[in-house]
Amino acid sequence: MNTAVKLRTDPGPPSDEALLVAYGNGDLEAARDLTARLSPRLLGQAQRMLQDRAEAEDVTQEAMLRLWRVAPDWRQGEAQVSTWTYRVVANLCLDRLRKRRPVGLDQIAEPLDNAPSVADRMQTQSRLRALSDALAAMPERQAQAVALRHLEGLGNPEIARIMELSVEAVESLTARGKRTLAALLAGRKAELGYDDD
Amino acid sequence: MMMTDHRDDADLDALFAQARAEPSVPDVALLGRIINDAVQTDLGRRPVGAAPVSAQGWLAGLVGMIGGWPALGGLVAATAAGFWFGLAPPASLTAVAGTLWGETVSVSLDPQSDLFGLEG
Repeated sequence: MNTAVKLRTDPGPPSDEALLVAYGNGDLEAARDLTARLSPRLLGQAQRMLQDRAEAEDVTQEAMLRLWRVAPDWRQGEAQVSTWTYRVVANLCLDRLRKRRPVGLDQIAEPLDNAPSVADRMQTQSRLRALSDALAAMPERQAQAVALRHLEGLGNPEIARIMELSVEAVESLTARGKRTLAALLAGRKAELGYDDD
Repeated sequence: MMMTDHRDDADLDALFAQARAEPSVPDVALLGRIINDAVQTDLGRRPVGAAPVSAQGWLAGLVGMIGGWPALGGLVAATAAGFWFGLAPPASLTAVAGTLWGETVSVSLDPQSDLFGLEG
């Protein structure tokens, strides 16, 4: 009779932290499961901040690589994988935004008059790129707070953990960031199809 | 002009909503790169010849065929990821095996096929 004791009594899926620890102990199937679980969210976060698919993919791969590297030292209960990855992706995106050249008006795609659906799509892309460029021009902490609050839809307590700030500081930073963002985009309202009437 | 009125706030909120609505699904190539990094990082941590603790089934068999875990290159991991995730057909593994072993063997299951174009 097999006397081995099964330590896992919870029939639910293992937590991200448990999978990471398992991978740190050499379990490649845990790496597969963690990749399937995390990569869509990481890619989405990077894509929303950068509005550049290739760069977003690079950020996703780099964030996951950093996760693989810290896996053997990860201690369950001390940190959440989601908090850690949000922070890493945000920082990697800010690094790339800092290096981004400002986009000139001639580089903004012009909507096509005779193809409404294509024009709408191009206008959406132009607006989202303008948003990303505005994040690049903002003070980094404001940009990070605004992105986590308004692009990722996170609550202030979660953002506070990610940014290692108080909730009150996050509230202030987010409010100031939104005002900064609005000011940066104000000069491009007409260009981006926001009419004043 | 500052965007400080309600209309501007609404425009900004609409822009955030548009950004959140954009789909972002990782493709097989990206998943392969991530899995390859996981495998390579794991390999770099373990003694030469030691296999991962849970490398059961087809992956262990494939690795065994090509000379053990140290021989596992990025090509295998990247291509295998599609199969591993169930996103690509196992046929992709055939191409990888051919690359590793220096030859690719094509087998036609259709006896009527004219492989060499000899039938005009």
